[in-house]
Amino acid sequence: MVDPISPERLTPLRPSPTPGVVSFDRETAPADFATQLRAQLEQVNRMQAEADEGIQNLIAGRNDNITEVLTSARKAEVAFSLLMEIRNKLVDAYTELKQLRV
Amino acid sequence: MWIDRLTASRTMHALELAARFAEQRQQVLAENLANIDTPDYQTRRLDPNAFQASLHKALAAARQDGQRRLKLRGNAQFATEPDGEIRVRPATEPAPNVLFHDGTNARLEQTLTDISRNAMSYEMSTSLLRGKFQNLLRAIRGRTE
Amino acid sequence: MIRALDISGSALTAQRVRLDVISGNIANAEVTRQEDGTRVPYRRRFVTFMTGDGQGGPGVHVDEVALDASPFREKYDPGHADADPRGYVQLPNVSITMEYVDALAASRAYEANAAMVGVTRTMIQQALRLFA
Repeated sequence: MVDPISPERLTPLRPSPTPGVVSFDRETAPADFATQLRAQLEQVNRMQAEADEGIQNLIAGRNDNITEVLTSARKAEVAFSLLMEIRNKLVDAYTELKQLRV
Repeated sequence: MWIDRLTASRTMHALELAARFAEQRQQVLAENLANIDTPDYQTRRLDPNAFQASLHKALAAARQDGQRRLKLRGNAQFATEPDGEIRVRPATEPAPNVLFHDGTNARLEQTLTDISRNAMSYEMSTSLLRGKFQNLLRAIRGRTE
Repeated sequence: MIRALDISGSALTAQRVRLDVISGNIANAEVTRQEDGTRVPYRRRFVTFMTGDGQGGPGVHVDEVALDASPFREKYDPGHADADPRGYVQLPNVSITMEYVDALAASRAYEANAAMVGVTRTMIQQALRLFA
């Protein structure tokens, strides 16, 4: 009797950075798309938080540099738009894949 | 309910308060300008710098407590109602050293400058507030326009 | 913020009344007889501003248009139709120069309040754009 394959026993397929050596170390494994995306998301969050702080300082009279504050707010907005477009494209790609007749 | 957390943000609340203050101040300035030739009229003053200082304190306190809504502490010139409304009690300006011959201390140039600054402050607050709303809508709709 | 518009509007009205009175003074600066023909010169009028819009609201209004009690001018002109036995004519207590200076102040105040109406209107429009 062959043991049934259970999902827990399956390990994800990943290209090895050094052939012949299996490594699951976070630092040496190449950043996959998911990790990169997550890092970009965190960066956009950071940009928005910084822009917010700039706005707060501006209207509370702490910072007189309108140009700096408005520019950083706009940059954060654009970065967020880019992230959202990426998400939209991913969703479109997934939908397309789902509809492929296999 | 989590839906009202959508617009609960320290920055948005601060922008709202700043805009409301400028709106109230507009009326005080209109009265000062209208009475520029009224003898013995004492101009009334709603100090924007004092308001900004209060706003800064409220922001710092909210940031520290992790609150999303600001608790603005009033001063001699304005008080905050429980529902967040700002009630103003403009102070009478201290009489300057030079009084005009008809007893008023209203100065046209100073009032015009105050009006300019107030209009600018209002435009800035409402502009940034509108931008925030647009961002939220964009994120909700998932579209970038 | 609409109330701010009303306040500026009350100022426009008040300054307009003031300008009208000044125009009347200038027009009558040499008039030596009353409307009914009596030999009494025109007496200068002036406005008194008072705070409030006259109906309990904020703003400004003209409290009264009063007669200036200062004495008439006297000029030696024996050929004048209204000269007295000594040859002097009583002329209105109006100084054209003073009236011009007053008119300048009135129109400056008028224009400033008119500009204020524009500013308030722009602010209201900005508020509306929060919605539309």
